[in-house]
Order: sequence, then structure tokens, then C-alpha cells
Amino acid sequence: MSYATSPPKRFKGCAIRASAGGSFPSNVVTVVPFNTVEFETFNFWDASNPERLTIPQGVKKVRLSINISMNNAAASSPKYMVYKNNSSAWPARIFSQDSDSSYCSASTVVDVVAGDYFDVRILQSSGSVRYLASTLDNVFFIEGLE
Amino acid sequence: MAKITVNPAYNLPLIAENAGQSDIEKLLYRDGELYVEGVSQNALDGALAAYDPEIDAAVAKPSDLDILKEVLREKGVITEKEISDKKLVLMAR
Repeated sequence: MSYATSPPKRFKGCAIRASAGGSFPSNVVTVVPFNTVEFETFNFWDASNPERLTIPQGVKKVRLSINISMNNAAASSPKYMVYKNNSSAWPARIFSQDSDSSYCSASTVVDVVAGDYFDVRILQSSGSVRYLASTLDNVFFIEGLE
Repeated sequence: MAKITVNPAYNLPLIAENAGQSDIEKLLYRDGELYVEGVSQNALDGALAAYDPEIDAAVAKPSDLDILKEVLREKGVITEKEISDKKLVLMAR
């Protein structure tokens, strides 16, 4: 089932979605299990690493956005982070502190080279496992600008 | 890097600590597997085998509502009975 409209012509980008029920143990940084391609026009997505968006040849600048929603996140103080090449410390990063059960954010323009990759990670500290909420809400999007 | 397939409801920081890694920044959970830097595979396997979910489970934090109730109780603003009575009124609506 597709949730998005078709991307515009000549658009370079990809959107991936994570199903409801993805689990997040307490006090461990967890990679959001994106598992469905919403649309893909320029080879940003690779089935062998489905939770990542990887920069293909021919792209030098991108913009990223995420939307995530968790169930029962009260008292869990979740942090929502986009990692670049396995690091949370990169210019123009997306990184929240002690956020709410839902989080939506976009980056500014990010310089990239072919092979760079991004994934979304969550750290929550409720003391028990938490889960992704509605499938409609969990999207990771990249747009190639040049 | 050592890794184990593990139930996300387990106390994963405790398993890592028992394997020799107490820094939670060295842990990563991905696709049902816990990755732990700086410990051997044998140590991590042993820590998982020794883990008892009944005894070692993490203690969940109370919700904001439960914390508020406790404060109101402590300050004498409201009694346990009043909380229960109010709950029954709300349930009846």
C-alpha cells in the first residue's frame, strides 16, 4: 500500500516507512527499523540495509526530514537522532533532547559524497520497551538538491 | 563487535554490564540484535545465558500522572480514596 503521491518529474529522492510495532528497548540506542519504500527515484535505498538512506553517485547536497511516533512514550524522555556514517555529530544534524512521543524535523542543506549513509536512532529511558505507533507516522525522507 | 539476538524487553544495559561493558554509548540495538563494543562474544553470550528476566528486569519509571498523584497524596491535597472515587466517576461517564 502506498501512502504518498508520486514525486515530481526530475525529482531525486526517496521516502521510506517503518511499520507500527517496531520495538525500542530502554537505555539502548536503537536504529528505527524502516522497512518499506514509499518512493525511490535515484537509488538512495538498498534492500540489504533497509533502514538506511545511502548517497548514490551524482548527488552532492541533500535535505532530510523525519517523522516518528511512539506509543506510551510518557516518562521515557526519548531522543530522536539522525546518524550520518554511524555518528550523531555532523554539521546540520537532526538531534532532539528529551522530546515527546512524536517528533518531526527537517535538516538544512547537507553536503554529502557518494557512499555516505543516514539512519534514524532513538534512545528512550522508560525502564521498559516502547513501540512505534501508527505506520502512517513513521517516515524518513531524503531529497537530492544537486 | 560482539552481538546477540535478544528480547527488547530484557534489561539490555545490565546484560552488557555483566559482559564487561557499562558504557551505554557502546551499545546499539538493530533489527532484533544487541551490538556491544569492547567485549568478547563469549562474555556476551555468557551474560545472556545468565540473565533471568524475572529477577533482572529493569524497573519502569512511573508515569507523569502517577508522580503527580504521589505528590498530591504526600502534600495531603487528595487521599487515595478520593483518587479511587474520582476514577469510578470518570469510568461511569
